[in-house]
Amino acid sequence: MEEMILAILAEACEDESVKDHLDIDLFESGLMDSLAFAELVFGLEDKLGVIISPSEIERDKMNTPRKILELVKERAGS
Amino acid sequence: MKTILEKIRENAAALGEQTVYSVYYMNNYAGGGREFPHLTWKELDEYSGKLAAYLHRTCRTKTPVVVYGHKDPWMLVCFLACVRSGRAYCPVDTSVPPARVRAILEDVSPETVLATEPLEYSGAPVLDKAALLAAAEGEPGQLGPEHAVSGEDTFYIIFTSGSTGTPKGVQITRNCLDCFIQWGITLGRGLDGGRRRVFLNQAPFSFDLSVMDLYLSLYTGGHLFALSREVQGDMGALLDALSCSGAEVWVSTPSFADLCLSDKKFREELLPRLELLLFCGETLTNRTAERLAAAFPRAETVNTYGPTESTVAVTQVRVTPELLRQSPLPVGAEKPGTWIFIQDAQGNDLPDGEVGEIVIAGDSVSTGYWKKPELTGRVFGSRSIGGTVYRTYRTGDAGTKRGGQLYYQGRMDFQVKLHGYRIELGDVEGNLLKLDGVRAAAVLPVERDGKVRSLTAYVAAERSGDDFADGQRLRAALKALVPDYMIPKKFVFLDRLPMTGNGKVDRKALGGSGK
Repeated sequence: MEEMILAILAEACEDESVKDHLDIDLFESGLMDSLAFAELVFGLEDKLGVIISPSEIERDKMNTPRKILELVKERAGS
Repeated sequence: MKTILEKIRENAAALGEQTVYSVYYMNNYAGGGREFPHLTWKELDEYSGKLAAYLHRTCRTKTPVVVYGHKDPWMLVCFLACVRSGRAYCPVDTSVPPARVRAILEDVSPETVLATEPLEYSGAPVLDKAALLAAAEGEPGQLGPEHAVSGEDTFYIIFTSGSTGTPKGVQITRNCLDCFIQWGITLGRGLDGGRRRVFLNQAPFSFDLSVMDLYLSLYTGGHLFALSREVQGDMGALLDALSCSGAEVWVSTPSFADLCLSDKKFREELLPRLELLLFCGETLTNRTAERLAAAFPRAETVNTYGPTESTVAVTQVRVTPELLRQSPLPVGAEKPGTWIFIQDAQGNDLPDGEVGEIVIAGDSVSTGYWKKPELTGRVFGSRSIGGTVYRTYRTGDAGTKRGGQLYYQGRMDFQVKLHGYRIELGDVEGNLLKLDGVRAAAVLPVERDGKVRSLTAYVAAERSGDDFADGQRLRAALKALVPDYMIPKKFVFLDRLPMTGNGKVDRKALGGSGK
């Protein structure tokens, strides 16, 4: 599961380095912008069936790979 | 046929106190209330007429006027004041970093600069918002219509990325704009007559996609509802802004639609009056079009194509369920007054089905680049069609025609379209080379589904041992030189760049090693 989420994230960011920097701020570092975030949301829905509405989640709840992992695992489990 | 300026005066007389423009800023979401900064038709007409009188009285030359700001209602007043006084305007958005703004200012060397946001410039007087208002209110009356730009005068100059690292200005005449509008109002089920509509503005005014929403709404007596840049980066604010807009005509890049579609609330219930979505600026993928059709089953989607050099767009096609069976989607058929030829490297016309360079001839082709005759001569020309001589423009886009439809097939050179923004890779490379410690740089597009997704920079530079940190440092330094959309997403460090036999950077070798 974790691997899958990170793979989707890396694809959205077009950068494998997100897998090695779990606590980096994705937005501040330029790894992710609004469009890459949209790609992440599409990817999570298409590949894991996890639906996340960007309007309902504060950006600082999803700004690092680790936070994304936790949130998605929680949503997938519920 | 009425000119855009005649039509605006007519609409202003008829619509008076009704809103012509409003903008949703971040503080409208963060507790600032529902008072959107706006402008009425009467205000637009009066202020622009009086500011035109001020320009006429105080400026000695007809040099274009730079208008700087971000979606402020007064930017519209400034645009119209310039053209009503016989001067072209050159819109520059605040997303352009200071060094680049200075390059544009030096290139235009305006006699006066109109700025709705703070701007440091010593080359000419800069009128800020307070000064603009005072200038307009200090005039006894509006300037007469006889002073306005005529048909072959330049109406606006929009700067786009140039291959050497400095931007180039595309000059669009009033006739070009009028010809574009005459076609634009026929899009979808038609936009002129009947009732006035709310148009959505996504693009900054320095991007010519905004010409589509701005002038179609001004011509048809509409109301343009603009989304500020900050709002477009916050999904909560963005959805709130959209639900406040009452938008009936959507104009954006496909990428912006993708951004909105990532939230399930982006659907008919949010924009119940939406009847037409107009796209331009980059490839519309089948995936995006299908998602839109599902979210807005009653609205029509129209895909268009065209470079800034031929006034926003010159082809259009309705995206129907039948059309969606094709992939990739065509960009459509020419507007009346435009002819598209597919040519080989020698300039010979190619038959249907063959791939070549897209060459545009017609009544909306630019008169050329501002103060760049050599560059203009290289890509602009003329051609006689049915006894009339039209200007032509070699787009550098690869394409093919089949059954009257044009298919876009990417670039033939080092220019890319990223999220609708046009970027010369040489522009990014030239600016990277200005950074400390960078010896060589090559920038390559990353593509997926036939669409450019991001840029990767390959740099030969001093390294600290932590490439990730070095990349962050270059990214931060580059931000001072180029707009955010030109910043590569990824930096790859190499000891030196691979070279081809004739001493050029071997881009093919890089493309292989970077993925």
